[in-house]
Amino acid sequence: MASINENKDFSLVGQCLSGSEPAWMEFYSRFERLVRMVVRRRLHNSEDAIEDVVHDVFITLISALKNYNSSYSLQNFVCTIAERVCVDRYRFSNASKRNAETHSLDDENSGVVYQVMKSSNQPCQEEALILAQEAEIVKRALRLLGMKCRELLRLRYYDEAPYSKIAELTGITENTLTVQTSRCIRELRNIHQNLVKSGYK
Amino acid sequence: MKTLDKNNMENHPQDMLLGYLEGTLSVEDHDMVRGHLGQCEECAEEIDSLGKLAGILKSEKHVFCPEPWEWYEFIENGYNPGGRLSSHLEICPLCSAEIANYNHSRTQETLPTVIKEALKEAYPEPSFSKHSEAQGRFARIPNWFSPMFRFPTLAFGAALAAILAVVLLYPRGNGPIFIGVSSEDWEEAGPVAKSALPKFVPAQKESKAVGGNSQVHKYTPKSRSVEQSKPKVALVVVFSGFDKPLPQSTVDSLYEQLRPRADLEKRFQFSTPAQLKQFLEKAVGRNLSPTRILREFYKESSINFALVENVKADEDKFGLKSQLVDTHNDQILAESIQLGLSGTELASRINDSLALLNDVKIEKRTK
Repeated sequence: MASINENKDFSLVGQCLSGSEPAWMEFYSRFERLVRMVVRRRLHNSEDAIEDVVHDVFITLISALKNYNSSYSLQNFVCTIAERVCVDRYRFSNASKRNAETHSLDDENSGVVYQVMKSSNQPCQEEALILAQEAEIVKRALRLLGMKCRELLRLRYYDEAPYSKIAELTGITENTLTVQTSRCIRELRNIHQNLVKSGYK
Repeated sequence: MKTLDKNNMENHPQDMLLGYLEGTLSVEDHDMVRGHLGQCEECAEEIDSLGKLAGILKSEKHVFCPEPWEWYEFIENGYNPGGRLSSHLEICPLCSAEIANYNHSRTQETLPTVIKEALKEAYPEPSFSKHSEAQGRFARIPNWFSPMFRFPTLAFGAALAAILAVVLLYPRGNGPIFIGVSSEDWEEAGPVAKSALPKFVPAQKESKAVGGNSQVHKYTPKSRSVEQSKPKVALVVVFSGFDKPLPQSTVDSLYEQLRPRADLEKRFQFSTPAQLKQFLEKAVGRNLSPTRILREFYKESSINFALVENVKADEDKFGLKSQLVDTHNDQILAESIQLGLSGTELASRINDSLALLNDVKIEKRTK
């Protein structure tokens, strides 16, 4: 029965909240690689930077664990916190960049000019954050989409297969496929809009 | 593909918009759509939103990938519903790389210094695993619960608990798990029933129990036909993290807190702790795990739902995880968790957890 099997998480959280260092060590051992996976997906940064964020996630978890709601799995909770820390990183990085740019107006030394130039070559952090959040909603919407549509969109956009190849694979004519893809995307858009309306973030 | 009537603005080329965006239309259709878009605001907005979505699907390929927590479950616990994750892994280089990374990276043997420092700051006096103190904790438990016995009704309920009640101990990987057992049968349950039903006579109950008369401990329905139409619920207390069985009076007092209220009795039929006890007595010696025992109990007693109170020893306090489980598929329908509870708080929270039964549309699910 799930209620007994989940006692392990329940017990670990309880011990962590009492400040037990061995319990935190166990918690860290269990979830460190998972956190690293989330951070790597979100930030696409160097390994050093990722290490830094992973530490931040666990430091945040020290205070956040008391809010753990066992309606969700512990790993789900850890992922949520990891994603929040990544979003905070985006924001912090964006704010720092803005400050640096503001400073450059008063300072014309070459270092600052270089900094501004460098930032112009990178994707805007604000945009990256919005895109990441948008992608999360699309991901959720995809889960709610019918299996046929999901598979069709996967072939078309993930595999980037031309309609001729999809037609070969599925035995459906190209014309029908273009219409079906269009309808699937519209359905996805409708689900997406409903999620946004319902406040999904 | 259908052609567009240029002169009919109500005939929106919805199925052609994506093709227009992706440049897969014939020259003629492309021109017609372009002409339509110049005059139709609705389609212009539509193509905008579709383009944005298609762009995300192309650039953010991980939207097709399972969540990190799903990979965690896949690697650690073999979670793979319908083979979805393993099939995805076969075709997705992004996820293959992630999984390889996960498998090859090794966690440090000790906590990183920054995390240790943060822990020290959050817990100035860190406590370490104190299982050796369990003995002292047991000694304190009866005192924590003793205030409950000042109330006449509760004292009466506790006095009804039969001497034969037992607590079974089964060793498991994460410390022993006890299924709390009591002879409580809640015969005088509910405000109305309390005055209407005859007072319980302990001697009679005990003698019948010894004689093995299974009818004695059975919950006596007011009207069998009405009772049978209600979903049947088992109320179970499970203990973990304790080194030895708790005093029977403590277990009884916790079951006393689970006594169904009259409003719940209108909606559900409850199995009593005495029925669970009777089943467990039969299961002794069969070397079954607590999980298996409870499953078999649910099956034999035709239980539809179980409200399981997981009481966990948590240093000097208790943790409580209350879960309402659909016994047919082990699905958790509702759940609450509380940590750092005193003995009195624990009793009170167990009583509160009966409210989980209100939160779920159980009757509908049963049909």
